[in-house]
Amino acid sequence: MPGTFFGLEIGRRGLQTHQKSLDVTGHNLANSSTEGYSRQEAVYSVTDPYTSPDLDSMATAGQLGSGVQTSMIRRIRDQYLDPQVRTSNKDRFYWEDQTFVLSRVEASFAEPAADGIQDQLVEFFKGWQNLNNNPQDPGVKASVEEVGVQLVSLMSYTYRQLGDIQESIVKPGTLPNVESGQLKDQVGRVNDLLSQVQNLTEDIARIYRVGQQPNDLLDKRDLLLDELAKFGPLSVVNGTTDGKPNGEVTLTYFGLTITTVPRSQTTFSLRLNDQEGPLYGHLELHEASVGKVIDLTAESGNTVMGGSLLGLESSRQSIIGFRDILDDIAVTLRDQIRNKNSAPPPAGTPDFFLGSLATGDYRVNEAVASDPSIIDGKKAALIAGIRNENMSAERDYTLEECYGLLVTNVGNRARGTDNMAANQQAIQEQMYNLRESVSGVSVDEELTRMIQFQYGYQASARVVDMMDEILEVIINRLKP
Amino acid sequence: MRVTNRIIAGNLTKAIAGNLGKLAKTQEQLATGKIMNRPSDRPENISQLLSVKGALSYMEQHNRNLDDGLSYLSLNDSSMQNLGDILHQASETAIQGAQGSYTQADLAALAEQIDGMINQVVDLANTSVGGRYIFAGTRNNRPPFHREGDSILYTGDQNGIYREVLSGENYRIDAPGITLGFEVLPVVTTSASLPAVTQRQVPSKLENTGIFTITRTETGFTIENPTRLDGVTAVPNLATSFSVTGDVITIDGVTDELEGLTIDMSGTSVGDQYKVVIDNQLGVFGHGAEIQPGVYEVYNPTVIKDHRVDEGIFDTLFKLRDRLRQADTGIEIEPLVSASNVAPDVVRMQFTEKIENTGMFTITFTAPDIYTISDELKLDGVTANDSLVAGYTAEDRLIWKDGQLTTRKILAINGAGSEFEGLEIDLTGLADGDQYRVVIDGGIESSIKEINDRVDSLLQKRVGIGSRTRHFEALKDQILDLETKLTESESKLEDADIYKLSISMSQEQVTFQASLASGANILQVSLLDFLK
Repeated sequence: MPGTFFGLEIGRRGLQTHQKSLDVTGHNLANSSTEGYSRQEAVYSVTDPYTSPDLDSMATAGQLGSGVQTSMIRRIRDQYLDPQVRTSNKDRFYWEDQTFVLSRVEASFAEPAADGIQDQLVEFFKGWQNLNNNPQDPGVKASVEEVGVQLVSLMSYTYRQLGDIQESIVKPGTLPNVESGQLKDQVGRVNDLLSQVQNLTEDIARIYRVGQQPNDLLDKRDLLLDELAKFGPLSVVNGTTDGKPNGEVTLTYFGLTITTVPRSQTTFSLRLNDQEGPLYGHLELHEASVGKVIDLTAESGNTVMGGSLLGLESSRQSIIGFRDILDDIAVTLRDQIRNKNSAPPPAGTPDFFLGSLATGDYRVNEAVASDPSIIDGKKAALIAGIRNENMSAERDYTLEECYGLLVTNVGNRARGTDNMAANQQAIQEQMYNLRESVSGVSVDEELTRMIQFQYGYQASARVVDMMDEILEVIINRLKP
Repeated sequence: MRVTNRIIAGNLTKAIAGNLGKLAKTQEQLATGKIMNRPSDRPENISQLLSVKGALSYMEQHNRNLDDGLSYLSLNDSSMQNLGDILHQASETAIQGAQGSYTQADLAALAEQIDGMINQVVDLANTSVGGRYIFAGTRNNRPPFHREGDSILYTGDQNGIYREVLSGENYRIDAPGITLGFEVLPVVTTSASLPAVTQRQVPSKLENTGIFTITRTETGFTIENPTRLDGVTAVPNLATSFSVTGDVITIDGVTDELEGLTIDMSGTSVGDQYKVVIDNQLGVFGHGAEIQPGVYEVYNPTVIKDHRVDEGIFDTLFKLRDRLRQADTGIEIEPLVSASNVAPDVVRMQFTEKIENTGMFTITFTAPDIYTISDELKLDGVTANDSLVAGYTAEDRLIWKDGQLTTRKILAINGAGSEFEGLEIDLTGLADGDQYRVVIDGGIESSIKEINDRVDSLLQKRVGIGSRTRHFEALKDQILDLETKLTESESKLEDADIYKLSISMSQEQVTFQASLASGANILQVSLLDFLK
């Protein structure tokens, strides 16, 4: 036979449990817009019935229920979606970070609308044709020099701008160190994220050990891992003890295994290879104790590996390529003019241009700049003819065609990257929505449940009230 | 699928951003009127667009080059026409002078007329267009021709004036004022200076022309690939035998077509190869006459100084003037050996129909009464011409001289087969061993022929200029045509289709507004609205 206050106890349990649910609902509603939050749910279970039959127990009619309890508060999350989300993350940011860089690169080329390098090249050769028409005219010579100066300054400006963009990604310090740049910042963020994950995991494991589930901490860690996956390929294995999760994780990042027990001390850094050889200048990701983890330059085209570190390096390599082509055009123009001027009988001043873009001293020969009349008018037809000549036997295209090719490359690269980024963004958002569909907070749903729990609470209160009335009869009205 | 508020909000934000992006793009295209505003808009077309733009820009330049070329050509033509007129006048003057009815004083007056014409020709030779002297080659900012006394000096150079009128196609637009008759072009060279032709062919070989290459080897020089001026037809014996003294090559003409050509190869290095073109073409005003070592540089006129002009219009006119002044009969008898000191008289000129024949021969007298004629040569003094005097007789004849009939010794050239006929020379009183050279050059008559030659060569050059003019005019039409087509394809590549864009714009606007409206509606509705 249960005790006198058994009914009150059932009511109390109902009140407590529903209040807890209302708290959870409130928590859900409060976090309905929190990034990375998984909705939570208080799981109800029936308390142990009164009483388990044994030899001493009285033969009464069956077991008596004893009410409800909250057995756990769980987060609703599909663990199997997380790897997919992270994969889509690294794919998205491989392309997306590039689009910002490449749209800046594209903006450096004022083609086709404005007066870009192409226009200046054309004007330059036209200047020489005019000189051929008036081989002795000092005015025409001065204008050839002037167009030359404009061409040089435009090419140098574009080259420097590309250089600035390149250095905004990686600015080399004393080799092998990297002084600054977006990539360096990202590696710093990776290190920061990893240490946060390690710290969180310690807390999580401790809470698991006392048999509770640290929902909010898990959400926080998953969010950190999502962010970590933006930068590079990440796989996560959850640790278990006796088949149950113990809160530990083992990460594999860029192929490097990072454990939480024992805690790995992971510090990534960027290095530029300073060993003479084919790998000279390659950007590498190093780990303090392991050494080289990955050659970012060599793997920059590896879209399967993905991640923004590789993406940024890939766009940096593109910029280096673009700059090389631009320098090639400048140097070839310089050399071809020198060749034409040196053909016998040579002109007095063979060099119209001096230096190169790469060394940062590309310029119109000072001698010509200070006195354009030393330009040899009889070479004008030959120099104007450079326009129709191939850059060399192997490079069977003209300077202008080469520049056209460069602009096409820039455009193709920018648009291709844009398209890929848009695709990957759509995929990633799809994955996020799938996860959100499972874990996200629906306000209407929570409100509905709130009403449900409110009624549950009210009902339990009614039970307590009713018990109170019964006990009133027993305690106060019955006259002994 | 379970849909949460975040999903709706996220999708809506994305849709609005996407729609706005499309609108912005369409708006940009409408505003600029172009579908290509940056390389990534249509990377597959950007290269083509750039090359079309470049081609259009060059077309403008080519058009300018054509106009410039045409003004050059037309001035070339008109100044040559004026030259022709002057030659015509000169020819008339020569005909008057050759009639024989003019007194010495009359002829002198005619000579002065010719002298005036020479000045006129100098003025024509200094014709300029826009400050550029058309007969001066590329050294064309100063008048190239100067008359100093009886010689004409040339300070221009021998480079042609070329205009690029199609991509990579250069055409010559001037008739050369003064030529050298040869060109030395580098094929392979590491040297700073070009070989110099220091002596032209001997005059009798001037008709021979051709091209060959000289290569400097470790041991000396090789001459290869001799061809005609067409550069194709091989001429094995163009320049086969040559001698080398130091660095100077002389083609000696033993078995060659060329002869007397001397080329100074100093300053060249082993492995150098040069193409030598011998065309002996006269410029409008003739050849540069003096070739001196170091003076000749094809491209570098600064060392060319004061070329005396030879063999052209000036020479012809000067000769005519001098002949008029001297009342030149066309026969000169100069003593080679003359113990008797007799100056033989010409009793009779050649028959009129033979007047064109020229040449020289030597008469030798051997006592007591033998007259031999030898060394029959053409006027150049080199080429033998054995049929000049085929039959001749030396006879005593009674002729009227100094107011009485006297017996004189007359040499009469009369034989059939002789080129000269009817010529009679009074040789009375010669001493044994006397030798006289008789030069018959036609006198004023030959000037008429020379002038005709000049007119002919002038006409040839005018025909050349005329055909180049027609060529350029045709090109101008072609460029106009091409420009239209290129502008069209440029427009196709980059211009926006405004009508299509306007329709897209309205559609996109509708979509954008719909996304805003539906989003606003959904987001406003919540269960909260219905809870008491």
